[in-house]
Amino acid sequence: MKIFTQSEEIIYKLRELYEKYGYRRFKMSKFEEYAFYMEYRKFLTTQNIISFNDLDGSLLALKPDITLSIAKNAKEGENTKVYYNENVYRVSHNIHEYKEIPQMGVEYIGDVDIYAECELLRLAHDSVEEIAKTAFAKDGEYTYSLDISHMGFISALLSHYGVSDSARADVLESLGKKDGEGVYAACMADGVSAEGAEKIAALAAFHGSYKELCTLSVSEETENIIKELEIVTNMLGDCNVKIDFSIVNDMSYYNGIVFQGFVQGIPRNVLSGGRYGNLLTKMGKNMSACGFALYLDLIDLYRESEEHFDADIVVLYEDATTFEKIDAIEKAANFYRENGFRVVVAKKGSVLPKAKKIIEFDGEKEVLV
Amino acid sequence: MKKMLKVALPKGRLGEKAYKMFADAGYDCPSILENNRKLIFENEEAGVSFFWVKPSDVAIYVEHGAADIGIVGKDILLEYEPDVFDLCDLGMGKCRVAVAGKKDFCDNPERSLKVATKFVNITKNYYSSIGRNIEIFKLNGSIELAPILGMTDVIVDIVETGTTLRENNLEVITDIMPISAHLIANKASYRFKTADIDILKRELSKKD
Repeated sequence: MKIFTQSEEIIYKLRELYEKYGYRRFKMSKFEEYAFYMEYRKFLTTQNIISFNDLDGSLLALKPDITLSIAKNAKEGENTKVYYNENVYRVSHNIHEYKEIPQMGVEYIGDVDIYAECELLRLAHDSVEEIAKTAFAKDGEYTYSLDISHMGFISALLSHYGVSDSARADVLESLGKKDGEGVYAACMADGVSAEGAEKIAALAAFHGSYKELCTLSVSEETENIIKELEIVTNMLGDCNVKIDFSIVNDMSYYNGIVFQGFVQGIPRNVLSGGRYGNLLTKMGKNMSACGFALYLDLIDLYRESEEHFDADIVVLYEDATTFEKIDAIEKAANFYRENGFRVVVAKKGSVLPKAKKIIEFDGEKEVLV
Repeated sequence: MKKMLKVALPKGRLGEKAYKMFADAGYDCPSILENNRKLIFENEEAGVSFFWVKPSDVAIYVEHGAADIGIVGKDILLEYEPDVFDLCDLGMGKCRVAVAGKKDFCDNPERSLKVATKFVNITKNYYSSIGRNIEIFKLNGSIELAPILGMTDVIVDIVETGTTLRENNLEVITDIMPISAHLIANKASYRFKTADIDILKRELSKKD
């Protein structure tokens, strides 16, 4: 009998995966002080937060994000390796209403070196593959991708060609849409040279291997970042991993690799993550951090629905007026239950649940209807 | 088997012109020209399927993955801000979003400006950029009627040749932005059909 839905099955498999790598489960309260989110508002993907007054008058918020709370609780001098499976409260992109959204994620806060970064990317990669394999495979075949970008690379290129702070938001917005013409126009409007604008615009169209990145390299810093990307992609050793600079996160919080995971069958990214050391710096902590979140609501929303049945078998009875008759009906139903079927017993003539098989039981023998 | 590329085309002249660009680029589908009530047209050999949708719905079909790519006016992208890749400007369907009003219109800065439009977002952004206080009247069609009947001071709408405005004794007061047709792609589809979409982008952007 299949009890778990595909997303529940995925959650259990991922929990096992994260535990195997030494990540502990992090449970937390659903509330946080509203002022805390105001301070780090730009870190959040949503600007709408459900707030309410506590009994003492203080303003609280239903959590729109988990990473901020984990980062707040991380202690300097320790490595925090945690995963969570919680609900967050955000405005749904589709219906523009608040929704409770199930989210799973992994965070590594402390001394995040290149090894730790590789480990997190491995977990992100395997998580996306697990979702593709469990919920979106067709005839055993599935497709997914993990795309990696690097805020340091983008930032180095913008600085090299003198893009001003005020123009960066426009450049990043166009970059996020793969709108090369928009990137070029924003750079030119900012007084960047045509050569520089062209090179920055080329980031928008880039979708490939780190090997093709050398034409965009401008400094020792970008050379070192290409080496970092070479290490992480080689470690993952998968042709489904690509470098793509349309993945852009807020530079004031993200400072290194950023990545997104896609599964064929889901029209949006199902995973999003990156290095967010700048957030910890803003919190006054001398630590680095990397992590990712999985949007589990997308799995049920987009997987192909199977035909739904309320039960496998309905056992119909006509007469249940004596102990012997009730006992016989129960025994007939239990026979199927013991064989792993979901069984509903119903009186003949009543409204029946949708079932794969209906069996009529006259007290002695069963007849398939 | 070749992966099928699903294309959402806007109903009307722009869509027909866009289809011709696809056909010239080798992604033709002759059945689309037949006069029938079919909704989806497929050419398995060319690996492409087309469907016609309302122009303002193209971005919705693409954003939610029902179409891998689509052709859409920049006005729709600015108005609805869909989460899609804006791959290139196709340089066709050129027109502009403009503020228009009666020929004798004179703005009185002492009170809010009444604006009729179907582009609420574009209108809000434009007037907030120049710091003008406005009241928006959201309409879905025949926008030009609003100032003629005295319901609003001005309109914000698409202006192609300006004939409708002239015939109704209205004129352009300010151009807000130029508009043209763009090739957009679903962010996930792009990852799984990169080569096909990139080839198509190259072919389509070659055209004038």
